[in-house]
Amino acid sequence: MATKTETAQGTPVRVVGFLCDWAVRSEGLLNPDDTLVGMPHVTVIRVPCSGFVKPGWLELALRSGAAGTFVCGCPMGDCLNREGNWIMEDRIDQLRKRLARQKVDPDRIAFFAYGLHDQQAFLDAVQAFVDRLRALGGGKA
Amino acid sequence: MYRRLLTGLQSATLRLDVGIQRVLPQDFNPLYYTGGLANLFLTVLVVSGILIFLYYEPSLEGAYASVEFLTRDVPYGVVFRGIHRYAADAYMVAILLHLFRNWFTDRYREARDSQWLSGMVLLVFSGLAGFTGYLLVWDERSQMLTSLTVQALRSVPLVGHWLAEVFVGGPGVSDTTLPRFLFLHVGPAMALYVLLWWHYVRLRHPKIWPPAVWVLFGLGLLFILASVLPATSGRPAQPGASPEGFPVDWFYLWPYVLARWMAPGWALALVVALLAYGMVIPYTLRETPEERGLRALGQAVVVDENCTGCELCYYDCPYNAIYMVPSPAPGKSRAAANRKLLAVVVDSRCVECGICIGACPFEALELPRMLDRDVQQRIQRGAQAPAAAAT
Amino acid sequence: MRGAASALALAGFLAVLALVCVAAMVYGEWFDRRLLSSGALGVLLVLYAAIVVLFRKAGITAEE
Repeated sequence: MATKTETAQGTPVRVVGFLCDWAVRSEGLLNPDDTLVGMPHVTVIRVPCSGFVKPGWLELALRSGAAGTFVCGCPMGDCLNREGNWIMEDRIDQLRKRLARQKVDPDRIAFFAYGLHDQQAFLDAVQAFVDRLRALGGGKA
Repeated sequence: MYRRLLTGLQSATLRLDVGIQRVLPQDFNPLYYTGGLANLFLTVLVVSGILIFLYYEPSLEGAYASVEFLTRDVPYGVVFRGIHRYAADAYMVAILLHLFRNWFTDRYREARDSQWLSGMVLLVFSGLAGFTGYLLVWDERSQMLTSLTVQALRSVPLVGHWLAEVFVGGPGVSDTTLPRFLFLHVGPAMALYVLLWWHYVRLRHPKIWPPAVWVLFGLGLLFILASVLPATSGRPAQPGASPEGFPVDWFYLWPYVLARWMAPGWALALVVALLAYGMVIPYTLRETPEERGLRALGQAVVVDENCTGCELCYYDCPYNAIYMVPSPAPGKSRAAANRKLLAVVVDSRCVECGICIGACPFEALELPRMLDRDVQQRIQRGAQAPAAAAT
Repeated sequence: MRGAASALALAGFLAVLALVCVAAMVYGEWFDRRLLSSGALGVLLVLYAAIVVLFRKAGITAEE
């Protein structure tokens, strides 16, 4: 999959993602350098709850050259900390509006919600996200 | 062994969600709203209970007749009675699902033990209100339940006879008995609301109501059950009669079924032991976070010099672990120079989730072992790293 | 405009339905068929729940 995305356009799109410890099981999903298995251009930072992610971090990722960034929390309604994922979804909505005013495509930010057993669905969603980013073109830097 | 079992149960619980989400949208999953569903059925119980209360007469001669009058002659009385009964069963199902789901998914540990303990006390009071409801009808079943309960209470050491007399209001069943049962039914039900305050007090925005689809379905189910299987009384209680058996409501009356094989006192002891074990569940596994396979990131810490007293963390903290106090001194950063308030983290309530860090636009909160600085570095590395060799 | 019209239509539909329910309850009481009419009411509520799920699956929600 990785080779396909890279050869198709020459420049691979870089993605930084945040993954909640309690959402998708991360065993077997990450390489030792925190990139996704099969997608070495996607860096994943594991966080204690999706609500831990600062919107500023997502902005920083885009400004630092990432083509896109995502947050993955637990299924909506099932947050271990009760409402971390709802709060995060709200914050991302606001961030999207702010970025749109700064001429940054809001589609570069994604929010996913997948549970412990949804590894494959999560990988598919990330792949679809990467494909969408590829259509948008590489990152800013 | 116990831990492996719990891990397996957690996995199975979440596997169940995967199945449910094949059929229903994520946020319609009924298992995410077991607490809200319990509250829905409790509300139904209170409303239908008040209507029934208006017709009920708590006396040995009048009780049975008044319930019969409600069932036969009051418009839709039979439906209200049925709804009251099946809402009680649905309520017990909902709170048991709530209990097991939160147990198996680890939502009772450390700072959340207050919710667990209040939940167990709520369970005790719900059970009490539930079984005393079956006494009020004063049919043969009520009579049998009363005599079994008196036997069980009498076998309590030292205070047993006194307890039994308090229960029926005298040395034997008399006209004081049914008013007492009525209080034992309504009193604990009222107490539930006080206990619910304890249950909610550490939660910001508690989810106390399920989505519309489950309200509609729950109410519809109650109407259907009340019409298909109307609630009825047995034969009226007769002094001196010794009925053989009674129809069992498995959600409230199962301890009385045990009395068939053991002395009622032992059945009572078993129930007490189960509930006592429930109370200590949050304290049974005192493992370190490392042993549980978690990263212990430490409890949130307020960076005094940056806090502007904006209250955003206070509003987002799901456990009310952040208090705003009058600021003792101005902060150092420009934004914090004129602050009136300062955020303070209550350690005993913090679950280390970091939601307050995401809320803070001023870098005034940190998880000690996952600092903002380090995350930023990792983001930059991830965003800039040259394309690694494709695997 | 379209939103207001469809909301009115929905409100009207719900009002008619509520009247039908009242009529059913009166009928049940009058002809001693309480259990029948309350059971029908239950079926109606369950159907409503199913409609909510179907709407959601078809993408008809309150948002926008």
